[in-house]
Amino acid sequence: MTKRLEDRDLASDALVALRRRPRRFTLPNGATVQFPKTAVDGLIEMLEAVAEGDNATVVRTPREVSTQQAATVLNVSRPTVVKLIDDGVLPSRKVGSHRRITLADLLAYRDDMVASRRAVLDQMSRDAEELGLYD
Amino acid sequence: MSTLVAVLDADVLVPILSCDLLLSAFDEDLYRPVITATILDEIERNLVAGFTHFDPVALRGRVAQVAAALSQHTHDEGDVTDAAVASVNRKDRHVAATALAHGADLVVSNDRRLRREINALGGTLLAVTGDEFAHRLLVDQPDGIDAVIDALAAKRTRRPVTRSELIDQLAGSFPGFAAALRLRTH
Repeated sequence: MTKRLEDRDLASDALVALRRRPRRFTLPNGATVQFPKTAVDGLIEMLEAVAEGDNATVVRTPREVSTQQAATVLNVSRPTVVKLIDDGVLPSRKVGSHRRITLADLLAYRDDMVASRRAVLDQMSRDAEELGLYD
Repeated sequence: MSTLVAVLDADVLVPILSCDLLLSAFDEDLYRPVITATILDEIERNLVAGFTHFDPVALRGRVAQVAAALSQHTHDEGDVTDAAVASVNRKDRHVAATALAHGADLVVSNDRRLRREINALGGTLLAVTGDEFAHRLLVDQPDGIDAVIDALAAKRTRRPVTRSELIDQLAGSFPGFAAALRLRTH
């Protein structure tokens, strides 16, 4: 059996046990360790990939980002991000002289921002059609 | 690849299809626009003056929508000294000053004199036509432009247009871009 096929079988077997989502695991020396739920979920996802013959890698997502990183995510200038923070629109915390924004807050704000913008642009097109601006 | 930062001059946001294409490309995050209250005022003046057979109130409403869509990209003209842009004609100096103050890569303008004056400033700032800008976006991000064209065509529900018909319509403001897009489509 090739290594890859063997890995797929091992992953499938492990998934049977892990899908019950146990949090406590017993080590060979009899000690038990408890895994956080997100780690178990991630392990299941990784095993599913291996069982299907795919490669699996772990990508670490930062919990917080800088104002420059936030500007890149929002496609706005850094001063605009600072203004959003100063206006209380985007929550942040200070680490020394730097401001940090949680990724969750940033992505939620981005979703709202894009939805509002799309609504405006869609309305603009409807109004232009109604006015006959395309005729 | 870092995002292209482009100051949009009023004359590329007055023609309806030109405005639609540039705002949709921004909505797809293909570039980051920069605009000012002065430019928005100019769009309003030119739109009302150029579309005399339409209700000016409705046209002002359209400018308000442009302003709302670009609200986070509307900046002041910055603190660039007059000396830095002294060779640009006084009427359009604010466009060049805005571009320099906000670190823009490009000024997108169909005003030939303004482009010549900005390109003579030296440095990294370039002025291009709307057509050249759209063509550059197509070359750099073809899938993004495909999404823009599909989205624009899908929005025309009252009198539907095919992708090909839309490209024909865009050729009025963006001849080079439309030609390149047709080659890509075939």
